[in-house]
Amino acid sequence: MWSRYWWKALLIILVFSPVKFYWEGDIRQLTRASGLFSAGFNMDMRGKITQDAAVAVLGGFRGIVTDFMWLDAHNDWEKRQWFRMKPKLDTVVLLQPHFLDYWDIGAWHMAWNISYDVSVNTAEPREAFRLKEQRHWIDEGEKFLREAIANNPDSWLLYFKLGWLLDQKKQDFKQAAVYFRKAAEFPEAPTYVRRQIGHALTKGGMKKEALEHWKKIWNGPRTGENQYELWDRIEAWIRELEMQLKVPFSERTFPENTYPDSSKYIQPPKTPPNPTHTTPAQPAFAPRPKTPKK
Amino acid sequence: MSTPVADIADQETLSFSLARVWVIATNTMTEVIRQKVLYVFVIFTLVLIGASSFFTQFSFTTELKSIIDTCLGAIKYLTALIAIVGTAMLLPSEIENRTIYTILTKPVYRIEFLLGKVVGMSVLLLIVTAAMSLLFGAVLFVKEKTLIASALQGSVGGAHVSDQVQQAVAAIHAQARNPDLLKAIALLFAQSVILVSMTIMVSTFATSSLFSIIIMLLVYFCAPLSAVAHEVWSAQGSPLSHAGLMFINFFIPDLSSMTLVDDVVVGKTVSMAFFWSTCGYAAFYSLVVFALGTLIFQEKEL
Amino acid sequence: MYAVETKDLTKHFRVGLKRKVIALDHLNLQVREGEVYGLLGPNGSGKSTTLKLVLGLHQPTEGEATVFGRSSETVVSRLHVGLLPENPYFYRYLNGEETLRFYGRLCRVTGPKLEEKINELLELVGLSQSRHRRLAGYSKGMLQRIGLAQAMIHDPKLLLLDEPTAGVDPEGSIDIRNLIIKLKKMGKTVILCSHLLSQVQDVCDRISILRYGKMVLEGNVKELLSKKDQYQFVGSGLTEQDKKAIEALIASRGKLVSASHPTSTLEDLYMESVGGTKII
Repeated sequence: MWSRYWWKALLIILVFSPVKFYWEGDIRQLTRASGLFSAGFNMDMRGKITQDAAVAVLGGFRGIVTDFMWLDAHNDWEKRQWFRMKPKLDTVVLLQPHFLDYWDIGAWHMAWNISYDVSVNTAEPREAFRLKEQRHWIDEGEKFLREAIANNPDSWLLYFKLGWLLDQKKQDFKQAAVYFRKAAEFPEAPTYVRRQIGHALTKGGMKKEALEHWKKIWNGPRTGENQYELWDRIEAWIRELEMQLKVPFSERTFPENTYPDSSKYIQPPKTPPNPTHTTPAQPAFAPRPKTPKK
Repeated sequence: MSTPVADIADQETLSFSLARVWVIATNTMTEVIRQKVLYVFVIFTLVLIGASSFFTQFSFTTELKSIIDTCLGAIKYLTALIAIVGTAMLLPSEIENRTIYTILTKPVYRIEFLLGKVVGMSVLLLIVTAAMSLLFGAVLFVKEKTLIASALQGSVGGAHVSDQVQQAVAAIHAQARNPDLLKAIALLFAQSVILVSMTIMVSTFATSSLFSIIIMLLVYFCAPLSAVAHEVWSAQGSPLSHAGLMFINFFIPDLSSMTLVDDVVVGKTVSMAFFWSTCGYAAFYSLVVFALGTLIFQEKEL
Repeated sequence: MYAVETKDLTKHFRVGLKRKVIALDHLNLQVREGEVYGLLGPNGSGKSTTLKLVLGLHQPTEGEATVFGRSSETVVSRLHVGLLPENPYFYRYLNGEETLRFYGRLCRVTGPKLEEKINELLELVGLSQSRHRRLAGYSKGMLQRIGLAQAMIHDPKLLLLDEPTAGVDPEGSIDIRNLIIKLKKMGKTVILCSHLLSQVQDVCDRISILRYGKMVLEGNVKELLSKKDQYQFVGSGLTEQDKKAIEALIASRGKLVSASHPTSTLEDLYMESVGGTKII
């Protein structure tokens, strides 16, 4: 009796196969547009993980495999087995390159934790060698973050972290400022990012640029997120830089009589501390009170 | 007893009736539930509890990620399993128990019968998915509170303590209250519906439930590969090989767009266009496959 | 219009790639409305196949079957048909009432009408006491009776009963026989497939016998069974001399075939000993 329906079945299949095929293609395009496509799977990956893990990844357990590998790397860190840890970190970001925290924390392990540990490694008596190791791991951290940015160019956090690494670990303040600037360009970047630009410029000796930067912030909008900016600190930094650079009083931001290095300086009255007033404990993330504009 | 009881007894025509479909659907649901399928919740709860206690880690976001990965993975596989195994057993058990004769010898269309089975399983899976999501949501809620409390208590040393903490809290919120998680779960349900329809179709010609299950498991595991194959083969070959490819491709649903939980966890957003296109695809494919199944079933000798 | 009519109804089954089995070979039968029709034959003669074709479970290879004028292949034709299958099996987790409700709803009998019908049928088949017990706990006889009830839930004009008394105790058997007679009085048409020839003899108006897919005999039961060349008298209160005189008279006019006490049936003896029927 199947002879009666096989041609109807065939007709259905023939008519709908191309519809299905092209609809899938359409969805795949949408997937790519949203950046949703997983990082694929190639032989390179296969070489770095066990067979069971490879099957699990193909079977759709990618996230969980990565989680376990990350846990494994964490254990290696606790046991201080750096050379076991590094390939695992590499594989984790290979499997899920869009989870920023893997890059962030991995680089942090390399450039901060591991580099410190090898520098005080008592098993290695030669200081030069220890320093070389330390430098190596900082460089690895930097490389890691650069790769992170290559995979995730839309993340302010990674630019910031790279800048932070260059600032803290390599004292390359000029480059740090560059990356802080890149991070600050993103609208979702928090306010402290742009403050870091100023600090990096100051530390790097580019005081004029730093001053310009602070003044730009000072003269910028104070609405929305910016109301929580550290306006009093920025004022202090502007003042300090203007004094250091010996900017003519006519060009300074604030009235002349408020600068200690001016002859017209008027000392503001010291307000004695009120014994009955206690500063209420502020939760760490509460908004800061608005400073009155001078 | 001389007046006709059924209000259609003397009519000349019998139209397709959703009421009949629903009667069969509720009967199917009762039957499946009685097979202790709800014990799956016990398994799921264990997974939830295990995941929340096992993945305690140094970093809040990776901990939350691990928990979300595990729980969503559990929902994905448990619903797929129920969809395939539960559906595969429906027709063979009716035929074996001969209860099918008592139904199909009534004024019931075969399509109503099959549709009733599909609707019953789908509604059951909807309830199961929703319940699992609620449980998962509760765990996430509790974990979010715990992690934020830890974040506030201590913070990694650095220059901008309050900012860092603020950022950490914001990150935890973003992860735990990610609305795309709901979309991801909805797409998992779409996957279940495709699996139910396809399994019913396979079971109309399969000789036993085991046969259906094996075929469907094969299809399920080939499905992710079809996405890869799609790309590779569509780039090369003659029109004839393309046609042949499309033919084979017809039998393998592209489930990759419905199982993008990994990507959602990592923070990618699901656009509405993508969401609706995928839902539409799932509905379309389920209907076509169901139509095939109906065709085969109409001609089946019982 | 016949209740059921088959015209050259033929069914082949394919076994393997080349061989085929002829289950029915150009069957022509007519079942009139309001009669009880017996379908007899050895196992494999095509009785079940005939029922399945009439019910649309199979498609005929050749020929056709109609139910009240409608083709058996249409779903509409089943509006008027109820089936009690052989060895009926239902959803074991439902109780008697729920089972009837399920099948009723399937036939679009709903609301208070359905409840009324359920009560009526449970009363009719004698299962009112067990309506809340799960079918898993029903005996064979009870399953047969609930099977009858579900076959009648939508008040069909035609009932197909496939081995209704298989595995049922003699009381139950009698109950079912009485029910069939009652159904006939109600104007329903009944087609009965049974191996219990004595029961068929008691209940059916017409029978047909199938063998290897062909009909070998069809006709009215009484006509087929009566030995036209013989006649039977039954008398009581006769003395030995009276008996001898009658025997002599018969011998002189014709041929005395037999003279003995008529026997009661085993069934009557059993019923006297056990007592009571369940179906009213």
